[in-house]
Amino acid sequence: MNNVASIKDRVYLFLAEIGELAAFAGRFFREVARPPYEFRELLRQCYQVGNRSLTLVLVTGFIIGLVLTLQSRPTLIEFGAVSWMPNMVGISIVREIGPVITALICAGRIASGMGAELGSMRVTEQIDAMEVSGTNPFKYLVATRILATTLMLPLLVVFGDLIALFGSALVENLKGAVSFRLYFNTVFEALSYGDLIPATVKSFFFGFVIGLVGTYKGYYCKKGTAGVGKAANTAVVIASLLLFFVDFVAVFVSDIFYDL
Amino acid sequence: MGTPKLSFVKLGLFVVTGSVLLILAAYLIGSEQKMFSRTFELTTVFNNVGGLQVGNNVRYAGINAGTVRAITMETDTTIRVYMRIDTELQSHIKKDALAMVGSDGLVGSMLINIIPGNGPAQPVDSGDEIRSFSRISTQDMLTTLNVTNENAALLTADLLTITQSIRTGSGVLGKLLNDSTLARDLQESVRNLKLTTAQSNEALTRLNRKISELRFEDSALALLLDDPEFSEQIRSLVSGLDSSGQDIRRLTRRLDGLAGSLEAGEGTLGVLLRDSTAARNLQSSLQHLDSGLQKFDQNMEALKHNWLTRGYFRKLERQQQ
Repeated sequence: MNNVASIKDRVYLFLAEIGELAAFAGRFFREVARPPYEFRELLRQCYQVGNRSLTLVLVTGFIIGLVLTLQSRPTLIEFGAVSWMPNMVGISIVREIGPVITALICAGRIASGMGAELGSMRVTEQIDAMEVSGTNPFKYLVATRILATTLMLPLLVVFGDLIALFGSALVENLKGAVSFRLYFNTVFEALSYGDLIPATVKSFFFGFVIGLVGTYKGYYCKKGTAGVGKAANTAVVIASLLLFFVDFVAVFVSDIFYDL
Repeated sequence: MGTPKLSFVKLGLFVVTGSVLLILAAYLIGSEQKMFSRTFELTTVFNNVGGLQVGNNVRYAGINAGTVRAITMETDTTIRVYMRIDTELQSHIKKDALAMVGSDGLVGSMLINIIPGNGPAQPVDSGDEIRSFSRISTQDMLTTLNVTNENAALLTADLLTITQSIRTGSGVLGKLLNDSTLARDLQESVRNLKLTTAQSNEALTRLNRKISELRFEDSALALLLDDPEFSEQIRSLVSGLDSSGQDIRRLTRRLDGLAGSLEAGEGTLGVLLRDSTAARNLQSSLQHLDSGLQKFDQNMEALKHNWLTRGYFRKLERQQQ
């Protein structure tokens, strides 16, 4: 009986969480469209999200490209298909691995940061103070952050994709004596807009999810220092989970549109 | 806030670089599909496109010339394929070019190969339809391969029998391979043949040299071969020889007859030859004649000294002097 009650409670809480998140997203769209616009804060957040994450994304992307190529090489050699390496790596990185890895890294770095930052602001009642002073805290703190992640993540994905392809080309160049020019020629021959456009569109959604979950968790942080830690932690977990869900939906939808 | 100005510059750099890279990637992908180069359109009609898709490559003589723009079902058996081709190649593709559905390697995607025609023809215009050639399908190829395989199996079985019989040493080939004596003989023969050839070669060379050394113009051979007068003479000589021969033959025949009669003992000579009694008689007659003649000589000598006839003899001597 107790178990049934607890499952019921959990389902109830889960649905309530989704509902609140949806309402939060709706509020974001309302607030972001309405002036005054906080451009300076938006640019500052863009810098925080974009430039500050770039190094991490570049290093991770490079290693992913390197490892993916090194790991697939023996199998492809076994099948005599090592010349298809640029096609395979190019398509898998641009379509899936690049956006997902970049988004996951940003979820870890940005969503947790936002959760902690807004959470501590909530705990220290800075948000309440802003409301009193007449500044719209949602517009200033939340809308700018979500917009920043939404705009910056696709660019980070482009950098991540490129550096991953470069890492893969480096391995092919060193191990298979494939010139960089041939490698990238083959990659771009293998790619089509059906690969690039859905991946880019998907990245906007990834960015939106990261910003949304990070700010939501921070904005509605429970009181106390433990609440800040919990907000940061759940922000990462839920953002990562939602990323995969959005990824699934995006692939599903792009399959319908691009018939690939 | 820190130094907002510098961070904004960095952000600008980040955004511009990212956007440029994204646009560049889009451009490179598009240019591979001939989206940004000037293109013209060609069409062709197939019965079966074998899984060809919009966006697949079109190759002309092996180089990437464009992409498939659209594939439409025209009637229930014909499929029209619209191709976007690079304008740079328009002057090279002639109206008699052939379009063929192929694949990029064994596992590659489908593509259209345009093969140059054989004869001289006008370059294609935009919107032209070029001829198509339906390549044999994989199924047909496998059927042919199956027949080939069966034949190959029969052939290898035959080959096996042949090689086995060779190995066991039966037949000429087997002997040749296994019999060392035969091999040695053959080797010897070949060596002799080589020697003979060398010698005859040498002889021929020498003969050649001799012939070249001959002064043909002044030789009897030249006379024989070239002078018509001489040939006439030779001819008459030969005909004379011929008649002489006939005469000789006649004479011989007569002599033959004579000899035959002699043999048979006919006539005086025959008797003489065959009859030994007659010969002996003749011999004694001759002996008597001989002694008779001696006596006659003595009588003549006596006559010379006879005073009655001495004068006559002296007159004879004087006349002789």
